[in-house]
Amino acid sequence: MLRKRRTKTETDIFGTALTLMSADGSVLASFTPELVQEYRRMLTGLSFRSALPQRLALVAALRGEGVTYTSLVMATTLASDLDCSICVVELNWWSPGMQDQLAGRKRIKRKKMQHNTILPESHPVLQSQGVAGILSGKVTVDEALIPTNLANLHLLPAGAVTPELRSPVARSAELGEVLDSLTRRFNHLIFDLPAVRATSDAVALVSHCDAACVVARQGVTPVAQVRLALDEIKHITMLGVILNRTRTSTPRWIYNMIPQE
Amino acid sequence: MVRLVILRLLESWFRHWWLYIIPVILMLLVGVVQVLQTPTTYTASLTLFVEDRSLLADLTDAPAASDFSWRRSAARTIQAEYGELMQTEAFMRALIQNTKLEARASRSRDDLADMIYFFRKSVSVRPAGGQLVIISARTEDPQLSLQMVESMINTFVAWKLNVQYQETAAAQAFFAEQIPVLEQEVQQARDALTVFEATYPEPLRGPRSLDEQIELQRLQGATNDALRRLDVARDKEENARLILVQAESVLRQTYQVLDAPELPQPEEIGERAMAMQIGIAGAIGVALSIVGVIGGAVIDRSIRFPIDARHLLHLPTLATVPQTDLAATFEGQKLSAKHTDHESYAPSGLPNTLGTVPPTSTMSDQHGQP
Repeated sequence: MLRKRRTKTETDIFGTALTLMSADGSVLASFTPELVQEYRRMLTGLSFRSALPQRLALVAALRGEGVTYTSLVMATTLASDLDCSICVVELNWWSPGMQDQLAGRKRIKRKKMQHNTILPESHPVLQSQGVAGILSGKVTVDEALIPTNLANLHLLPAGAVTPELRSPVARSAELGEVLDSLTRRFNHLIFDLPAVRATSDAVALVSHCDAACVVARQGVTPVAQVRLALDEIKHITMLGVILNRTRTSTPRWIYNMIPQE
Repeated sequence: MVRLVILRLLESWFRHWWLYIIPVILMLLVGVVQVLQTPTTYTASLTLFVEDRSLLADLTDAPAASDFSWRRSAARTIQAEYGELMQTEAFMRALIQNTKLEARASRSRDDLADMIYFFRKSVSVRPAGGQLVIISARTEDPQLSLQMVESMINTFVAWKLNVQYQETAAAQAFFAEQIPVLEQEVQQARDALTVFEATYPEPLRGPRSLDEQIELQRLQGATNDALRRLDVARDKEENARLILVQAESVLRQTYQVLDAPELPQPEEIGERAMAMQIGIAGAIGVALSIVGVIGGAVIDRSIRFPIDARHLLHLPTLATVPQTDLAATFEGQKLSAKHTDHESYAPSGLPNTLGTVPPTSTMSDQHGQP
């Protein structure tokens, strides 16, 4: 009783950061040990409790939940831990963010770091025409795929699709064929899908997947919106919720005094 | 569910604790300012001794100044009488007339109503025993306080006197009217008896006849009756005159001012009263904070804890991803980009020792992540 309480969350003392780089060594993203540990725990649980689905979709109810970032972290962690081929497929033509994320082009409003571009425009990562290019026949799958420093990890951005073609593309048979070819090529596909409440095309896109995880921001995303989104995609197996950007203000010692279940 | 509520309340508090401290601090400041700005008040008071029955009234059979019941003490009776009288505008008007408030009250109906309200609010009548009543007035003007207290007792006594005077004067006038009529009846009865005795004198020998005796007795009885009624009326008229004279004396004996009011000194707010005032203000601030915490928890319809996902969405929480320092992430990317030597990850998961690991965040970090 008189022992000093632990003041810090127990962390894996052997946890290390992961860095995602392009094939030519350009750093695309860095992930802190806490992030990696959390996703590693999730993926390990999914793998051992039930088989990790071959086609796993990451969905969110609203925009800005962090689906793209989550897909990158998950894929990097999975690729670094397992001897299997992974591909992150972005199918979000409404707000494509993978290439911006990788190029460091994300605007951080709070820090006022606008357009903090790290990669040049001519970089292969930014030159990839993505799924849109494959569907339009301009590039092949190999040309569109972005290789990384991890031999078993590839990235496939969404590319650019004009607004009037997005819905037809989402429901097209050609898209299904492309995804089938990717399925034959990779052990696992992680899909970065658009927000379910933002467009009904997300329902069509999620139907290509075996299971889905919903990403929600802690303390921001209304429960009602998530419920509505889940209702729309209830035909898909839902594995669970990924609570993003969690920050608990309650002191840990008080938090631990209250049973969670 | 209870645990969820507790967690939400705690999170609501700790997330913006500085915001919920503000009402407490503000209300404490309000309390302090209130205490400092409380105007100096002056309280004048008098102690009234109420006699159940005065000796003078007993000796002269005069009615008592008040009808005190054995069920309620004299002091409480006076308190009740004051309470009832102060509900009337006439009595309040009479009270105000003897004070400084008269100048303002006579301006308009609204001013009169204001002054009546002010007077009622400023004075108090409370029993201090079975026969002691304390009448006090508290205002910011010492002169006014004194005037109000004096007016309270003087107006009350005058009202009592007036009531009794009216009753007694009415009785006296009534009986005074009756006396001449009764005197005339006496005279008529005597005349009738004299006429009969003259008409039917006493016989020289033997008694009167039976009819004469009966008639004579009847006339004598009528005369005696008239005389008796006249005497009663004269007695009552005399008593009423005596009561009129004694009324004020009886009242003064019944209501005796033991502690006469003096010009009051300024009152200092006690430390206890100050502390209580500030404490009440602080308690209000705490209550407002609690309302804010509860409101914040109620309004928050987002997912806060893994238990929310299970209870509200019926889904397990796969991961709770902590918020990371976004700037550090980008700095790490920049720094890492400078290094040319690097090792690729092996599928077995060996750690990457390239470059500088971006600074990690703690649970309480404020920055967001993309």
